[in-house]
Amino acid sequence: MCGICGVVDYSVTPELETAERMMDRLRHRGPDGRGYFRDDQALLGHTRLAIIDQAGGAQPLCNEDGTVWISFNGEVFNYLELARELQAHGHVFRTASDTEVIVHAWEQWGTDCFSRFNGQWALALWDRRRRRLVLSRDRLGVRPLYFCCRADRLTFGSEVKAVFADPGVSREFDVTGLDQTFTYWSPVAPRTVFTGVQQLEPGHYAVFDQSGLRRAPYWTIDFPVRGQEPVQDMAASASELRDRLIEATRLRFQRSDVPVGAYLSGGVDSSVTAGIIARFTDAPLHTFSLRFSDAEFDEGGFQSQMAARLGTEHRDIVVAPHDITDVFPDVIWHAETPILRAAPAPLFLLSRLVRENGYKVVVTGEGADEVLAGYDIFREARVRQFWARDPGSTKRARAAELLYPWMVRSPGQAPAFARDFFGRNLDPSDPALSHRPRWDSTAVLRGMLSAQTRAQVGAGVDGSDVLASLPPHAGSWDALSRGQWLEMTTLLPGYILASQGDRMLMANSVEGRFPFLDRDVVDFAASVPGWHKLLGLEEKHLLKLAFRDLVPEAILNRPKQPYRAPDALSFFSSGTPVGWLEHVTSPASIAAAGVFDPRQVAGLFAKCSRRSGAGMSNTDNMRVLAVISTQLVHEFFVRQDGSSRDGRAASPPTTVHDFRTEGEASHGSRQFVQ
Amino acid sequence: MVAPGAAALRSPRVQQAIASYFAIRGPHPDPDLNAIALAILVEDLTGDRLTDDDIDASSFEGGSATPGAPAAAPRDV
Repeated sequence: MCGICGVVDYSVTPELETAERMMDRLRHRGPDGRGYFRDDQALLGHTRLAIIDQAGGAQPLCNEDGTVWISFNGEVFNYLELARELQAHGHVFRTASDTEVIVHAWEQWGTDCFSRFNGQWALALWDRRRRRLVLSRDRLGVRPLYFCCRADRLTFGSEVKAVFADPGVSREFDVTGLDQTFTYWSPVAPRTVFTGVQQLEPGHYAVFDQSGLRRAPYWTIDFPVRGQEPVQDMAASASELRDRLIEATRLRFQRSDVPVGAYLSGGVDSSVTAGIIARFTDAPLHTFSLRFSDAEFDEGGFQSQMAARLGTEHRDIVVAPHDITDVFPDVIWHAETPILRAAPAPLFLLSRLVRENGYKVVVTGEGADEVLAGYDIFREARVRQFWARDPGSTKRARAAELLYPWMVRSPGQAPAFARDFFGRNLDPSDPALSHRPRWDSTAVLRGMLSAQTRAQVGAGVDGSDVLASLPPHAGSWDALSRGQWLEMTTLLPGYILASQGDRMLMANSVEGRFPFLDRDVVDFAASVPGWHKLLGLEEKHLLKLAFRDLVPEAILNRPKQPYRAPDALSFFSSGTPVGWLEHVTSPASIAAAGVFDPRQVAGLFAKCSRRSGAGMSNTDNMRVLAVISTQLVHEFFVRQDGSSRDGRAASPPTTVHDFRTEGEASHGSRQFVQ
Repeated sequence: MVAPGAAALRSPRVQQAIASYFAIRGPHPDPDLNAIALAILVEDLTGDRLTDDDIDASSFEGGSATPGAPAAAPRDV
């Protein structure tokens, strides 16, 4: 895992100083080395986290004759198989790295190469003969890639802060990006919360040359027609899923030249992945867990149970509310976008624990809830559909009690609750039926906006921008498939894999690997009938069936506990906001950012202070996090320029390939040994 | 469409799905809620609509038995 950055400019030779600033801002992604390539039009930068071929894999690197150069972040897990295939075509390899495989694959197959990769990546290829830049990003958006395109110049980077290192890139909020965040929880690619800065869509590549920028998908999420799924037999599905997930996990554990650890959350997903790994090594597996001092959020008992069953070397970190306050500015500097929950902060602390214990790669259970239907949002949608078939039925109204056990204690409330929850904006033909309640309940954040921002937002996003990308044949899919599609194109890449995933891992130079997002697992899971995944209201049924021998029954049958952290409580538990919080949420700072109405913020924060952040509603918790995180984003990336916060001096590059034909002399390649 | 409730419940595919369900998840302690949970499963599987009479604990009696439950996949890890 690494950081990539660069500039292609058809008017002037890209400035080295810009590249050095860009690399400096990505040093957390690659502390093991840095390097650049430059010719008259292109500059590719790279900061390296050395995981495969530590001796020979320094970047940027090139093909046999130096006509194709690459800066690559990620892993292509099937690189050994691809290398053999490419060698059979006559390609000569100089290194044992997966990066070089990409270069030769590009030469051999052109843009068709991306669909052959099974991995997680963001990359930039510079083709010197054709004078064109190619960007590509993995299928589901595990690895980030941002860019700003202005006429003859394109600036790109793994993180927005690197793009902002180019002084020509302006820094201001994109109001529609904010509105998407305050509705869908994140901007939807290609949009970001910054005007003029785009993210490459997952599953896409882009080409930039003197004709401009063009982009195209090489892969899209697809589902079969309901009832025509190729495998109907549940046992056969479970067997196939098991085989594919074992192989996906094996690839992610074994294809590394450094030790690989595993997260254990206490749930089914990470229990399965850690359980599979435990069978592949004789050495004790090292597992890492997140605990909370507040029992409401803690899953320590289940984590210990699974660790004991697997016999792992287990470590955990216990997070208290004040820990979240302490690291939250760092969290937002890394996330670079407003967030509506404090949940990324503990994950930042967890990856720090991993790094402190000498690990830089972990396998986690991320992606299972999307790919195999684990989220409550899918169960809620099913109950809404069930109720909608006969809204007058008193029996159907009680279905809410299956979702919310507390209602069993107040059965008299069920019919009224059902009418309110199930009936609100319920249109059974709505392709976004599953997500409408979440979007509607999140969009109340618009009520906090300043008059000016509200005027710019207008009616705001309403789902139509997301649904415009839904394939025309999606009407023939299972309703669950439409919900999965929405989740895998919005929240997964925009929040789960970004603010909770890549950014919190790479903040501490740790690479996450996600077997549930393996190409072959995702494709297979999409091909099975919806009822194999969500059987009635039983989430991830197929996964549980496939691995019930591996996971203790107590974990297999426990009610799903969504990952949460204390929100407002984290910032107001002492009653008084800490210094940085007081600064960024002061009336002057709120007015300077211009996003929120200062009076409403003052009222909300006064309420939090009175209650010490306790007992706040879900909506108020979201409001608090939206305000604090947006203000921090403004502070770091609009008022300031996104520079590193640690003040450390930059280290010199260890790999230099400079092929300019004019200007200062430095022609050729140099590699330095640190 | 309203299904011929009991007939839908007796179809081998529905019976196998219910058996698979109970192989992982035990019956809900409230028989009425158990019937609703199974009705949700059946309607999703068949696309049919059950009547309130069908959504009844007696319709699903014996539904917690697990004949024909899919076996865990055999491959060792």
